[in-house]
Amino acid sequence: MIAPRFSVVIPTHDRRDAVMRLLRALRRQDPVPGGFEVVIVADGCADGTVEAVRKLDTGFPCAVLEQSASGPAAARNRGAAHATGDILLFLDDDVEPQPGVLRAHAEFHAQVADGIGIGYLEPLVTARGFFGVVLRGWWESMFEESRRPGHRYVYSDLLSGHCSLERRAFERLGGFDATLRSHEDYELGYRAIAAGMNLRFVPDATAVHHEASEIEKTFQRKVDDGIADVSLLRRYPALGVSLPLARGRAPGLVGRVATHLAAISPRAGDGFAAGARWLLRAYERVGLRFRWRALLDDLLVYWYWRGIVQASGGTDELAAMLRKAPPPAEPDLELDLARGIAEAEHRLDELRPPSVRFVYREHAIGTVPERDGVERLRGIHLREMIVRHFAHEYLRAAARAGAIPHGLPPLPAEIMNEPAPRHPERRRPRSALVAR
Amino acid sequence: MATAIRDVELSAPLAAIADLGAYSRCLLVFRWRRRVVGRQFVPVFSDRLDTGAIIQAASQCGADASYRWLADTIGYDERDFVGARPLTATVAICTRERPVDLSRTLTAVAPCIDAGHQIVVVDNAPRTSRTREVVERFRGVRYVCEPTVGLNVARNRAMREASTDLVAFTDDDAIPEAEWLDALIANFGDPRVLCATGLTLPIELETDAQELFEDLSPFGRGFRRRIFDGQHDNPVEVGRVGAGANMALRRVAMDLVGPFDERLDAGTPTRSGGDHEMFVRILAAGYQIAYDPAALSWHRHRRTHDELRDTLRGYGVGVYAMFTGLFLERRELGVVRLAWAWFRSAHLPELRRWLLRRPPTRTSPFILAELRGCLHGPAAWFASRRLRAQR
Repeated sequence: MIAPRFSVVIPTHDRRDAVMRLLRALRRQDPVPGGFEVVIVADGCADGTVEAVRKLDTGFPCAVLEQSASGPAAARNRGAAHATGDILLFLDDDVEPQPGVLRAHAEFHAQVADGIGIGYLEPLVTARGFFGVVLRGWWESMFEESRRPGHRYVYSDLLSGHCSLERRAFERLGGFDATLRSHEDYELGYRAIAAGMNLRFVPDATAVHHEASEIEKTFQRKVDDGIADVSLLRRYPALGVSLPLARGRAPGLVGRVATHLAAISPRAGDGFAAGARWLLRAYERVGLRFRWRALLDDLLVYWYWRGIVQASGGTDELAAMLRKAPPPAEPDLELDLARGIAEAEHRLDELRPPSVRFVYREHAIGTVPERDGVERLRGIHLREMIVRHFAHEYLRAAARAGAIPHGLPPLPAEIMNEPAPRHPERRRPRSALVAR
Repeated sequence: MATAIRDVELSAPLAAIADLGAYSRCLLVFRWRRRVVGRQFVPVFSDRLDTGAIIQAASQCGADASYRWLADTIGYDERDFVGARPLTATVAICTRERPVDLSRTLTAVAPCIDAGHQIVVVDNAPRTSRTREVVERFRGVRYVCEPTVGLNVARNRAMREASTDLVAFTDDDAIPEAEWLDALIANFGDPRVLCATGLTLPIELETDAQELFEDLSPFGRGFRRRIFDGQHDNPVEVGRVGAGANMALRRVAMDLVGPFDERLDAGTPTRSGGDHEMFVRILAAGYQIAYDPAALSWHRHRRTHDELRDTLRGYGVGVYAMFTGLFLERRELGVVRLAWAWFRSAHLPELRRWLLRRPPTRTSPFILAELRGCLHGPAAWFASRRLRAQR
């Protein structure tokens, strides 16, 4: 038998109906050269998933593997080991791929060598009320940056719920880290970027994501995220500053009290958080949207922090881990943007530097420092970086160099006299062209 | 005396502006490569403005022109997204017995048919056939008669009649620029954007009533693109978002947040507010609205004081009727604070002046008319609800 081009690997845990929906969606796929097979890994399923799948006439090769509950990362590894296709497509069991998904991934891999294709998960949220709105917003915001043409990919862009890569590359990377209960995709993304692989968003690969999470499940996931992030920090100290755990504690009073309690007595912290959860319901009932949102953020930080405390052993230990992060090195490359954007883009594509310093003739613009877990610079990043991180610095330098046309009104004093930030690139990315 | 309106293209050599003898001031509209980047009122002392005065006025405009220059120089458009598909649009004009205005608007938007878009005119509860006759003069423009009176009824009809991805609404007394539709469409690359609004400027300020309208209730919302995000922004603060005279919606918005509320806006006792109520629901559901000044349309304000007074009273009725509905049906408590803030900043000073029998200003009668409208708003909402239930 000739091996198929695609192996679709689906880990599942007690979601029989969702898996059936997914299989029916795969039956409707547009044909791809070489065809595809499906490997379902039933991870501790007790709801009859295995029997139901075996009974279904799928119309494509479909293997079902069973294992005792070991988590989705282990299940994906098991499925990948069983797969025979050239390209692995990982799909979560709660997604429903649209007919063009396989074709879009196939076209992507034909164009991009060593690529990891990240598909779009269009959220279809079950939760109602304020939480439903926020949950959909979170999912959409995951793709906000990757949709930008000049996005510089970062380890956390990899989403294991819908991604594809060559099987040999997956084997070379060593698969997912099965010890992680959460963020195992980020961890794989980190190693993939370090190995020089190319993460890319594949916009035409759209799968509807039937997101049935309720608020309590989200809290539990935050605990797992906290535990996983400590694990990531232990392994890759240079990631420190980019992890949410390095950004300090909860902003609100409730969050501060709860996290403080968690450090002393997790039980007291949990009791306090349960009280706050009650208050959250009350806020929603009377329609206090912003108080509700602030309290939800506090609670999310609390549960994330609970995970951190559980995994790190306390705040002092965490601080010690964060101190291990090495300071970023100064860039070797300097680019003069007065020589034109095309020239600078060409140089970035040629050299693929980890960091760069921009100038306009003799006037400094700013520095893009080296960052761990982020892909090396490419030419396509340049325009985005200038407008979103260095707009004022560029305008100021161009004005000082006399390069702004005479017809334009002079730059306002607040831009001309603005102090130059040490690392403008670390500011929250936002376009100067868009008012907020 | 009246105000002249003149374009100043900053990317070309500046020239003095002549023939201003009939005007006491001039509204300069500054552009950088056609894109509007600012505006300034300048007093006119002779019949011309020399370049010095123009440069002086331009320097008050802030950094928006520099940002446009930067975007041009770098070759960057913040509206670009990976994999964004070309979208089709229907231009919808809801109208009622204004054939002359409609003809001007249709002349302005007609070229978009050649670009593959569609135009539909919704004739709302017509008394004559004049609207149909105007539409028949334009090749490819579709005429739809909606017998039930109400602007929001007509908007819903337009949304249902359209088969395109987007529906762009313009008023029948507005003249959109050639780039208007493309500029609106460009904002829908992000799937979270359900609605885009554009910049509306006055096409003439020839009468005192038109100047007063521009002072009291300008349509312009600034010269920088802005995203209103329901995940962060207060959904009931939609005054800054834009207006129904210049907006485009994704057609699926009807399924995602529901149709326009047919109890609101012109043709019902509530008289306005139907566009803003839709903005509130879009934001409350967590979606985004993009305001993009590149989508420029010119609006002819009402010419007489009576019309102006009536328009402002209508705004007052509509806004407070909308607040009433949002408070009672959607438990949007934020409207109470908003209503109070508006009353305190706009109406309370006038009320105090009136109670203390101080001499009124030029704008006093109009602000008081708006206040009377506000006070009538809740009753209008109940009346409109009753009428709708009887239909």
